[in-house]
Amino acid sequence: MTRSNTDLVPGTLEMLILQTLTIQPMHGYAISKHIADRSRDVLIVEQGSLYPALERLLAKGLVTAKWGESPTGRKARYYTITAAGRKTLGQEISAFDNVLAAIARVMERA
Amino acid sequence: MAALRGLLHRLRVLLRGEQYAQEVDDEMRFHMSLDAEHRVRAGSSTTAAAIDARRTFGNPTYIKEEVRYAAGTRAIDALAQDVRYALRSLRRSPGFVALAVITLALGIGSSTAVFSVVDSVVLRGLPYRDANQLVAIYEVSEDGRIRVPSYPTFRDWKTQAASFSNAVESMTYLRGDGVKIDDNPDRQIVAYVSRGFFDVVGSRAALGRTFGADEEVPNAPIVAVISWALFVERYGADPSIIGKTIRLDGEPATVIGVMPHAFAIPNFGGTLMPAVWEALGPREATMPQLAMRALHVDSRTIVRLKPGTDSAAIAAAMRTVQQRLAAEYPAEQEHWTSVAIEPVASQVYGTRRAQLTMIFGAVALVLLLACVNISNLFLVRANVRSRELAVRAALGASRWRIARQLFAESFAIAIVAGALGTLLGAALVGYARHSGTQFIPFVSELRVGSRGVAFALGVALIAALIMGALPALRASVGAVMLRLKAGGGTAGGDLHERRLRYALVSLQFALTVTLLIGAGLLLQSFRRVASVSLGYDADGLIELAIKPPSPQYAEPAAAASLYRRLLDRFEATPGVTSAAAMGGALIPIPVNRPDVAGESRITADYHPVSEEYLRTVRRPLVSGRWFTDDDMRVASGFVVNEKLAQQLAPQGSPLGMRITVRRSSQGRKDFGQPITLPVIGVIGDARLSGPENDVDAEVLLPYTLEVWPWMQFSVRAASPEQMTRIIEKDVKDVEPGIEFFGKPSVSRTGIAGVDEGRRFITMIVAGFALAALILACVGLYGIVSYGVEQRRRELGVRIALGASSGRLVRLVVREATLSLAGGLVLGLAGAYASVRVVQSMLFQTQFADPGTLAAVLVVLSGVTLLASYAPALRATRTDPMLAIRSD
Repeated sequence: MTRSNTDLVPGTLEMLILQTLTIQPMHGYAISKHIADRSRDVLIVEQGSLYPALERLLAKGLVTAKWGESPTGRKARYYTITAAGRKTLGQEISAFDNVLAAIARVMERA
Repeated sequence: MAALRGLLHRLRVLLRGEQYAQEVDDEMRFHMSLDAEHRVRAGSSTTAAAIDARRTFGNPTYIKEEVRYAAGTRAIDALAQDVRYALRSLRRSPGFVALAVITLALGIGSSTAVFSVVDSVVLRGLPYRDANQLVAIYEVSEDGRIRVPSYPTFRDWKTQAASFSNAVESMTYLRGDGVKIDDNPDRQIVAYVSRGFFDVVGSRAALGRTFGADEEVPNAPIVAVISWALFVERYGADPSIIGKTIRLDGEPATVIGVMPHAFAIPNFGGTLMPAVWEALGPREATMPQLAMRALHVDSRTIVRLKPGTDSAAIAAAMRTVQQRLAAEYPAEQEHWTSVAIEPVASQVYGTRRAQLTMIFGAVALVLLLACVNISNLFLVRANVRSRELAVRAALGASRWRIARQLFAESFAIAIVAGALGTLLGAALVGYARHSGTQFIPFVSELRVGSRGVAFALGVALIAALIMGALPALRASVGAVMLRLKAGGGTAGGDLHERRLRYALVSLQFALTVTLLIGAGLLLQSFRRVASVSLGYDADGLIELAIKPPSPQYAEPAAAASLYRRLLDRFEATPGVTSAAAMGGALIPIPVNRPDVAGESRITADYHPVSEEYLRTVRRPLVSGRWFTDDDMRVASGFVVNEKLAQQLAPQGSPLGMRITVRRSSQGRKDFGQPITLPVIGVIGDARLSGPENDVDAEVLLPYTLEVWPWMQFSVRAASPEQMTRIIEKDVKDVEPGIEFFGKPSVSRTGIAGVDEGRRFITMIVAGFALAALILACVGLYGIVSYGVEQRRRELGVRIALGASSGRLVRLVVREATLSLAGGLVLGLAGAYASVRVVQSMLFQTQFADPGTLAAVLVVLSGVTLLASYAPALRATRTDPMLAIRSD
């Protein structure tokens, strides 16, 4: 298992969570699973980072949380992205694109 | 929107902390179990999956803490914890809490009450535009006498305004008079104001409006503007009074406006403020006195100075005008060639501003003292708890955290004390309002108000900072660790700590000495005022003043016979020894000698009296003779007092000298007519206007010669307090229509005769000084007892080694004495620096008053010994074995 998430640009985890939640409301486990699957296990989100990050998003009002039934019939806490969350996500993606492009230019081989 | 949602979330975390923690817990358990299920599905055994899931998840407790931190509520959590901790620890020492809260609440309460008064009188200012530009202007003679200008003079000033337009923006004239409002028997003051008065002072009505131009002309309908006090007290603050008709001396007038609180122009000194303003225009025709140039009625001429003008500029500008008038009207204006000005603000409040500032200073000192005292208590407490604090520090509490906990305690106490203090302040203010004391201007309108509450809370917060600062500073981690090592209890005696506490006691004594000296000087002045000889026996005299109803008694002969009937009635009343009548002009009048040319510079008070006067008030006859019954029928001369006799005949006797005075009763047709008669007698001087005023020159004449339109009576009776009602009934029996200027009251001399303002101030400052003394003693007692407790082991060793008890007492008392000496020196300096605050109240007393200083020294040394001797004595009873063995 490659653990590369420690080098994430600060704030990236929150962006990833918000992006994930645009698909549908999810609980914490599903979010981390989704990120791991989509990144083909390159980005492993530690729970020690995931839950505090979710709490920060709650405190900023970018997501809301509600208890609901999981498909297996158990109580789980589902996170939903808010309108403000979507707006922030848009801004973060464009900022991230800029950074990415910049990095790409720096790393370009002659 | 997002911010609000976030805030709501945080609030929920904060308020439902336990439940939220549970939710986070559930969420993590769900996460792990789901992870385990996935692992089982991928082929792991159930046990291995569970273990792996938990391992991957990490430390749930740590994550929970991180989540909590992410919610951003940790600081508030900690604060709540501090407060809970503070309350818990305070609950353990109810005695300390009670002492601290009560001390502080008393301090905050009294200072809030004083603040409310100061705020209404000094801080909020007067409701005039640029109040410091408004001055009252008086004429000054070449030999320094002062009088108000007459109305013709005022009009001349107005027409010659170009001469001083560089200094004066505008001016207005007001005449004051007594008036009966509706059926209220107490007369109030009405001010007849010249055109444009409200523009000159720059004030608008609080309700309704002031005079319109068409209401200030002759023959206009009578309209009235009333004062805020009248509006509140008589008309229940009901705005519907606007447009209603009230009766002023029986004549209807429409109320058109109410002036704001503290609008008090003109002010005739002290608390004599107008209740009603009327335009002078419609009245001019009915006031013949206004046309008389020689008549200086109770009036004020108010001037608005140009910005940047001072009294020198206006004096210079007015001099040319005054000289011109003196040349034109030598009879009335000769010698009156300059002017004096008096700021309107100081007219309204007189010396009250200075006096209130003094009281405020005293209360602030006591408050500071209370804070220092509580700070000291906290310090002792922090010391007793040093082991507990040390343990907390050792377990990782930061210095800031420990300081914060100590602050939480002082804040908790300050908030409770602040609330109690506000209530106490409101109660005190309510009491003052209820007492209706003349000492506080506008007392009937006094409230604590929002500014007062803000003040109380502000003081509470500052007090909390002062009280908490020292203990918090002392609770430094380093010091605490040191104490832990030393084993707690016994280490508190460290020198640095003790010095700090004695320094605090010194500071307390310094504040106390300042207050004690101030109070001592005031008490000394009070004693001297009370022991001034008045020159007559005022003690137990019943005094009353009346005005006969008009028109029945408008003629002098009718009034004179009424006065005689009253005197006869009084003298016929059982218990009355004698009764006398005395009238008189409010302003000294010129006394001329027909054989000397030109106007005399001699002036005297003018008193028509009945023949029983001398006997009733017990003034001595110095030479010549007193009036007889025959003099009352046909006047044969004047009687003068010694002061006037001295002025008339510096060497020798004025007996037989003919003098001329002018009739001075303004309402009479013969006003201003000269009377020339010889001096037939000289009587002793008397301080008729109170012990603090100088003796005035007096000329006395039979009351039948000039029948004064109102009269003052003095009645000598066996038990005067019980007689006042009977005398009042006597008056009404003789003539029911008589109006009282002053109901019968018993005059007192000595301590009971001292003026209310002086009594009030002296009592308050002395009370505060006493409070300060008690606080300082409690502080000292606490420190010395604590010191003895701390040094028990040392004292035990000394006793074991044979120290005598006298030596031990000296050892303990010495430190107390040192802090007293320090405080005394500081306090003397403080008192010297602040003596100018009490200066205006000192009567024949200097700062370096040996009696006062000696008394302060004796009292202080006494209480210091008392406060330190008891604990010192306890020290000598220390059992050496117990002391040495303990811990």
